[in-house]
Amino acid sequence: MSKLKEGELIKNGFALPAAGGMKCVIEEFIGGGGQGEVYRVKLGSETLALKWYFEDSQKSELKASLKNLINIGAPNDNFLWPKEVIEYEGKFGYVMGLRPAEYQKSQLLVNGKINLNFRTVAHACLQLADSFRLLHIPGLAYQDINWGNLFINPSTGDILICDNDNVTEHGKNVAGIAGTYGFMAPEVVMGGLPNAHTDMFSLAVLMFRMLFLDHPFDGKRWVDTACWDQAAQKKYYGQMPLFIYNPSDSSNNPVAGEQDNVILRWKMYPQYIRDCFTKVFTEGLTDPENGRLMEENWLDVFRRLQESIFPCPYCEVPIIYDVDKIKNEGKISCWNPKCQGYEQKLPTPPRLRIKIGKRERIVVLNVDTKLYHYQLVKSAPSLKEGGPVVAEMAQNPKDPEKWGLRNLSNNNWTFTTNSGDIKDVNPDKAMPLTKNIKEIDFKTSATAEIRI
Amino acid sequence: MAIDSVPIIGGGVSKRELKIFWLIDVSGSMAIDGKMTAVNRAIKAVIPELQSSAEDFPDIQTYVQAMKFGNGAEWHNSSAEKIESYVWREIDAEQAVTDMGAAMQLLAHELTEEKLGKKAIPPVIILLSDGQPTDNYEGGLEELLKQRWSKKSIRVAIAIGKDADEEKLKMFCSNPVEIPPFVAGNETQLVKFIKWASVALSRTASTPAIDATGGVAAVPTPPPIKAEVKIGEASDDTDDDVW
Repeated sequence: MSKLKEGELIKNGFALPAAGGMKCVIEEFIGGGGQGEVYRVKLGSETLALKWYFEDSQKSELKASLKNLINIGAPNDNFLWPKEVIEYEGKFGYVMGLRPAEYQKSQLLVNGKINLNFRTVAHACLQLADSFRLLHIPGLAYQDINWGNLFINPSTGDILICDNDNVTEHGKNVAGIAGTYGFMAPEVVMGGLPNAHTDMFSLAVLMFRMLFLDHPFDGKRWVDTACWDQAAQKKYYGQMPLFIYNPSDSSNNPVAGEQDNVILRWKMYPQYIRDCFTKVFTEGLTDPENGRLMEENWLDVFRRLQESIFPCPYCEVPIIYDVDKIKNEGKISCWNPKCQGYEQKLPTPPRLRIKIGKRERIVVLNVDTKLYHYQLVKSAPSLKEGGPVVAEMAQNPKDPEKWGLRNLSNNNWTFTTNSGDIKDVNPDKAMPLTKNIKEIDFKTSATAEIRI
Repeated sequence: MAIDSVPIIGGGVSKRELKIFWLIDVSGSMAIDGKMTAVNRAIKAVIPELQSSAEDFPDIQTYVQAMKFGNGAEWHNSSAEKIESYVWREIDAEQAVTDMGAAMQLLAHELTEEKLGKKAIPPVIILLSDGQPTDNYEGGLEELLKQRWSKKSIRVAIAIGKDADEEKLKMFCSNPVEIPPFVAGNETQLVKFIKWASVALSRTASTPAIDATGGVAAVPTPPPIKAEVKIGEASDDTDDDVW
C-alpha cells in the first residue's frame, strides 16, 4: 500500500463486527469527504458501502439520528439509505447500498458529458419529486439538496440520492449543516435553518438546472460580477435574489453568449413548466410555505410533460406536444438542426383527450404509449399508486397498420361510435382508435375522445 | 437517425476561472531529508484528485500554476494550465537562499484585475517553505496585499519541518486565526496538508460552505494534525519518515 493512501482509516481486509454475529469486511477504500471515508464492504453475501466518520463527526447525536433513520426506513429505492450502524472500539459508521456504475454524477449534465432528453429528464424529475415527497411525509427534511448528492442513469433517467446521513426531523439540525450555495433557499443563506420548506426551494433549483442547464439566479448580475466570491453569492442568492426570468424585472435576464443553454431551453419547454419555476423563484423567495410548489404539483407537471412527448417522425428525437406553442406559432417542429423536420411543420400526433370531471389531460399516442391508473382517476398522488398500467397500444392482428388500445384494467370499458352504437371492451380486449369513435368510457369517472 | 446521434442542444456552460497557485521553496535545505521529493510526490498525488473534484463544478474551470522561489522567484509553469491536462514536472532543490519576498512580488503581478479576468472566483494560494525568508519579505508581502484580488484570495501556508518561520508564514495567511500555518513533521502529514489545501480549499472557493449557525464558514475544517489511528493496523506505523 502506497504511503499516499495515508488518509484511510480502516485497513483493507479488516472485519468489523456487525449485527447478528455477522462481519463487515473492508474490501476497498472508495473515497473521502468532509465528514468521513467510504469503503466498499462485504456484509454477509451483500456488497455494500460503509461510511466511517472522522473523529470530529463521531458524535452520539449523529449515531442516534442514524439509528432513527434506519428505523424509519428508506422513503423509496432511490435513496442510498443507511441500513445498519457499525460500531467498533467506541467509534461508528454505517452501511448503505453501493452505487452501481451506470449512475453518474448529475453535474456531468451541465458540461454535456451525459445527456438527458425530454423523456428521461421528465422521468428523473418525477422520481426526484416523488422521492422527496415520500421523505417529507413522515416529517423528515433532507437539508442539503444539491447536485452533488444526485446520481443519474442517463439512459433511463433513474436517480439515486446519496448522503442521507444528514436527513433529520423537520426543524432539527443534527449534523450542523445548512446546505450548498447556489441551492440554498434565501432564508438559509441569510442564516436560517434548513427544513422541509427550504428543501422545496433547493429541489426546484436542482430541477431547473437539470432542465435548463443554467442557474435560475445567474443572469446579467453573474456576468457583471468579476469576483464570484462568498460575499457576491450571499448578496445574489440571499439578500436580493432575482430570478433571471422575473416577469416584472428584466435586469437580471440571461445574457446571450454566456447563458445560452437557458435562453434556448426556456423557449423549448411549455408555458406550464415556465410558470411553475417562475412562481417558486419569485413568490417562493419570500413565502416559503405557499410560494414553493409541493412535490405533488411537480408530479403533475412532469407527468403532463411525459404524456405530451412523441418522437419526431423523421429523426425520432423526443418532441413536446404543446398546445400553447401551436396556438402561438401555428406549428410544432423538430428542434434537431440535423433533421429534415427542423423548424418545419410536423404532422400533429394522434392523442387522447381524457376528461375526469372538469379536468382534462392530453395524452399523445405513440406505439409504446401506456395508460396508467393515475391518468384515469381523480387523484393518485404517488408514483407507486399511480403506477399500474391500465391500457397499452395494440396492433390489429388482421391488419398491423391499424392501431388500437388494449384494456389491461379490470373494468369493462365501453365506447360510443359516431352513429350512437355502444360497444364493450372487456379486460384484455383491444378497441380500435379511429375517427368513428365519439367517446371511450373507462368506467373510472374518466372518459376520452380520440384526436387524430 | 438514431436517438444517440442527436446533438446536445445548447452549448457548454459559461465558466468562471479558479486559479490554484503553489509557491514552492527550492532553497538548499529542501534537498535534505527528502523534503523536495515529498513535495513532488504530494503534488503529483493531488492532481488526479483535483481533476475528479473539478467534475463536481461544471461551471468552473480550474487552472494551476506553480512558482519556485530560492535565489529570486520564477514561475515553474510560464502560465496557468488547465487541470484536466496538467502534468507535474518535478522540481529540484537548488543551491539557493529563501527569497520569499520575491515570490510575493511575482505573485502580485498575477493577482491583478487584468490577469484574473472578469469572471473569476477567489484564487487559492498555497505557500510551502522550510526556512526563514532571506530577502525583503514584508515589502513583497505588502505589494501582494495591495492587489484587490489579494483580499479575496484564500491563502494558506505549510511549514515543512521545525525550521520554518511560522510567524512570517502567518503574515501570509488570509485567515491566520482559524487556519494558521500547518507544520508538517513528516511526509504523510505534508501530503495530507497539500491535498487538503488544494482540494478542500478549491472546493470552498467554488461553493462556499455554510454552517448551521448561519455563520458563513469561510473554510472547511482543516485535517486533524494528529494522524488518525488506523483501525486494523498497528498505530506505531514505522512507514513514516521523520525529519
